[in-house]
Amino acid sequence: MTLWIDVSCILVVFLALSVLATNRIVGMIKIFAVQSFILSFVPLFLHADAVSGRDITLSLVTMVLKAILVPAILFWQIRHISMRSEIKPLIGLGTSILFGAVLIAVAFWVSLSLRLPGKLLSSLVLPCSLATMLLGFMTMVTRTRAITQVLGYMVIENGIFLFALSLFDAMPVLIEMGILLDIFVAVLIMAIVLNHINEEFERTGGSAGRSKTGETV
Amino acid sequence: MDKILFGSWPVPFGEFSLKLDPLSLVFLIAVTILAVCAGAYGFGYMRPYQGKKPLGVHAFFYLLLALVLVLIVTANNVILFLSAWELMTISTFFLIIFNDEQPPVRKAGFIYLIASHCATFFLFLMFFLMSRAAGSMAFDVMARTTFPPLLAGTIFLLSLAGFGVKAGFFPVHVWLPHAHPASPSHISALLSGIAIKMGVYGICRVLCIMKVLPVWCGYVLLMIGVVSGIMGVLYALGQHELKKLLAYHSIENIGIITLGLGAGLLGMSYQAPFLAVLGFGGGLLHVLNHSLFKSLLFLGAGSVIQETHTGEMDHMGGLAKALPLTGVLFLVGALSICGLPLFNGFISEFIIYFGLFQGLLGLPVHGVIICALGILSLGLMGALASACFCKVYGTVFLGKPRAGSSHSPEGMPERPTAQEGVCREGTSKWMLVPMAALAAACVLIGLVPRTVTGLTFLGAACMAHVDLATIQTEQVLVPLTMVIRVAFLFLALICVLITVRRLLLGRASVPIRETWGCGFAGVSSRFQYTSSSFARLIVELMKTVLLFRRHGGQVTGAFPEKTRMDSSVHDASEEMAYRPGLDFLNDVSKKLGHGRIRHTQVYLMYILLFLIFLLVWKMK
Repeated sequence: MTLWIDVSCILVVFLALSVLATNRIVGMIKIFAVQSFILSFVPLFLHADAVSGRDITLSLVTMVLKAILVPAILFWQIRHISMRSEIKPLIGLGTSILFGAVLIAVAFWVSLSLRLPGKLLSSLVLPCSLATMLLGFMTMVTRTRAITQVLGYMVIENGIFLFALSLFDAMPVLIEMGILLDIFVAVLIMAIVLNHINEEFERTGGSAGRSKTGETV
Repeated sequence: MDKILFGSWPVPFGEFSLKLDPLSLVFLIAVTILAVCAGAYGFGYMRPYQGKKPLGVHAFFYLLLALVLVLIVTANNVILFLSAWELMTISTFFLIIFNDEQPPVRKAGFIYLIASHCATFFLFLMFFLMSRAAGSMAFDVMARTTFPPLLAGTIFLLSLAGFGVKAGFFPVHVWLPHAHPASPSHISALLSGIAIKMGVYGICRVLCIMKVLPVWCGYVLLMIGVVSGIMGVLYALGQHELKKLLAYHSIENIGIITLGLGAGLLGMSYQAPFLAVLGFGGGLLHVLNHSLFKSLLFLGAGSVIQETHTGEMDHMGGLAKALPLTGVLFLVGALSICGLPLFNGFISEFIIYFGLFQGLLGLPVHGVIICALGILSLGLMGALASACFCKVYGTVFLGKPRAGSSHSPEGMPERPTAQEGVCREGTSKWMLVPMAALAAACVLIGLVPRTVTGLTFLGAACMAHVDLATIQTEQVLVPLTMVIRVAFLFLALICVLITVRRLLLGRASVPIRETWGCGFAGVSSRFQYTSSSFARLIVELMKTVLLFRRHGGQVTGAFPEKTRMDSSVHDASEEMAYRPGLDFLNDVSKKLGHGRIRHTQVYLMYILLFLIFLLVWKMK
């Protein structure tokens, strides 16, 4: 079962890097959905011998919320054609990937000397969760649109989720559920707010929202 | 001899304890003499401002400064010392910006304030390190503590940084050449005479408390002395403004003092008590001497500026006729600062020379090299100082008045013509008497050095922690007296020759002709050597270390057009280190400022970088 956790971890990091290296919003949302989908299986691998009801619940909730609902909300948000267009990152995609690689290296290096209270199932969980967080952060740094900020934030959250899973036994399931709910509500609110901003700008002339200040929606 | 006075002072860690040891006494004497003389001079000098400027405020800060100067040299508690130190900075700042309606004066004041405060930061660090090691805030308890060598070295470097700014060591002297020309002359005299000596006092006090310092400290101190001395006098040579020139000479003399202290420190490190006492003694004596003759020179410069309404030497000339008494007194100061025999500058420099020669005999090879360097550079400083004061005296007092603009650098109001208490030459007696007193002190020390050497050697013994009875100070005093006697004889010989010439000439009239007339009829007073042309040879020789700039002056063809030329010497440390450094800092802070960050992403990037930094930092 450790093998499956390792595979999931590596896939999660790889997908986070893909989010960083994609310049189409639709593609980014899809990649994020896939990442969440993979992540939702991780609780099932945690207890190899006996999969408890708790694990299954967590897995199902994660899958519904993150792999289906959040991407759906985001797709709803970008339902206008104009928002599907390509976005130009602040730094080139190649450079982004390079920075991403550096961040992954940093994450692995840092996690070598981090001490955790509990025992980890796989040595890859900690560095991969750190790397996912940093990559999500990097996505927020390099993209200019508000929707990409939300996506970057969600990738960070996925990293945190992975990290929380590694401490699963130390963390009550109730808190984990609460966090998931918070994330969902946050995404919902952000989507609604962005939607309103969009409509406002489109009514007043469109291009005003795309000033060089980077506050473009 | 040490006396401690206690009083209650409800300040955390503070204690109103004053202590008077020989080291304090040397500085205390200088403070008292100068505060009285410069104050009396200021009384006459500020008279034209009466009713135009708030003189009461000025007098308040003057008296406050005098008080805190006394406190600084006698304080026995760190908090008391630092309080007095900060009060000194603040009161001096208000004294400097007396003519605050002029932008350069305000700028000079702020440079002084900023430099002093930056330096005080190091002092806080240093004193807290010392107090922590000693477990007490009292200087006398610290003096009984033994400091580990590494800590002692750190404290020594911090004291150089903290006190060095106030003292005006070469690379950190920026405030000095700005503040002196900006302030009224009696304030310049006090600043140069005693305020910068407080930096020296601080270093002396630290040396006295530390007792045992690593050997390299002596070398560092001596090298700082050499660099400050030579660079100070070289820059002085390039100046066109009288008070700025004197300010650079202060840097030079601080260099000489530091050289002496460095020699003393070397003597302490190598267990050569005689060298230690000579070095420290020469340094302390030069503190006293420099405060006497430099304040005399500044006061003289004040009278000159009041007469001519300008500080530019190239606009002056022939003032020996207009101000005969000031001219003579200024000459005494100039001869003293050049270190010529019969005047006091010679005495202290002689003692330092003697100490360095002792070092040549007694120290290991590194010490011999540095002592030889010290001797050579001291000689160079003396020679350059003589050249510089030839230039000053020649351009300002000799020759003929130059027709020049008469704008006032200090915004000096016109002096009322008929005034009570004004002597023949038009200078107030309140201004002449203090100068005469200072000149008399210079000559007295120069002729009878034993009046003060006893005290300064006592101070030196206090710094070197040796018993003065074991040191044979006669070994230096006897040859010193000999030199003075010979010089006196020489002077007498010259007097005799002059008398003989007078007698021989009898009543035969000597015609007075135009200098360098050579039969040319259209001689103008502007044909005279200017101060820049006088110094040009040396300044151009030293072009590599000075920022010497020259514009124009090239004539071509048989009938050249009208042309003009000007040359100036710029402070290299200011132009090449401070200004670019500060500009860079300005740029960086502007870029970091809120106005420049428009992308949210940049903020996010800072957070990311900081996050990574924290992660990496906490790894260890």
